[in-house]
Amino acid sequence: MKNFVFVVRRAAHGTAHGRELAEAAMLAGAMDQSVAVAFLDDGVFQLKSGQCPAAVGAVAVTGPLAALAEDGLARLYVESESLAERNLSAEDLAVATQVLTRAEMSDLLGRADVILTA
Amino acid sequence: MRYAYGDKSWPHDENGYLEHFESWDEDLAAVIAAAEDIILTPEHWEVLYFLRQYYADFEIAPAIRVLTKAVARRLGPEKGNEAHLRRLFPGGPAKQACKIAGLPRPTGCV
Repeated sequence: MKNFVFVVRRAAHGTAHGRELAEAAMLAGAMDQSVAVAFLDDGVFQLKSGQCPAAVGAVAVTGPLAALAEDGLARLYVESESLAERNLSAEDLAVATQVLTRAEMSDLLGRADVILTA
Repeated sequence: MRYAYGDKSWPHDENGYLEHFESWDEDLAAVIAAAEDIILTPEHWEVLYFLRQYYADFEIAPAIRVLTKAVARRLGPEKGNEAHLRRLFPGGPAKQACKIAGLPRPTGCV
């Protein structure tokens, strides 16, 4: 079993990166790998509640992320500094996500066998 | 391309997946199942309604291994195993069951 960390650094819907990474994380988790998804920088916007992706012809990211967390396929982490820099807090997020400091995030990345970014 | 039953019809894509998730009903499920050579039993309906709820909640059609885990967690391991699901849907539990349940083609499905 490998320790995968999927890193999301861009906001949702401008591209499909967030959704595709969530789908990849879901498949890795279903293959019994250890999977974490980390939201940094503008990636924290992926988690924001109140999104309406259908309005721009995009597909939801928060739905698959909720499925990941509920079925224990992956652990979700968000960086506190990235949230604060964007005037967001854990209460603004649609999906229950563990908040890590930048230092803790760097430990998480340091322990990964495989890092995939989007 | 459309499925038809009585005076009802439903558009589908080139692989037979329903275009509009919300337009699904049990008549349509029976039409698609017949085209796939499946006679629907209560065990089939359980999986179909499970998939409808999963998609309504999470907006994603689950791949086979994801589906197996989700069914095991919510309906128990005797239902959530690949052998049981393959017996019900020999054409591929995710691929075929999603089609009959009116979901899009599952992620990671070729």
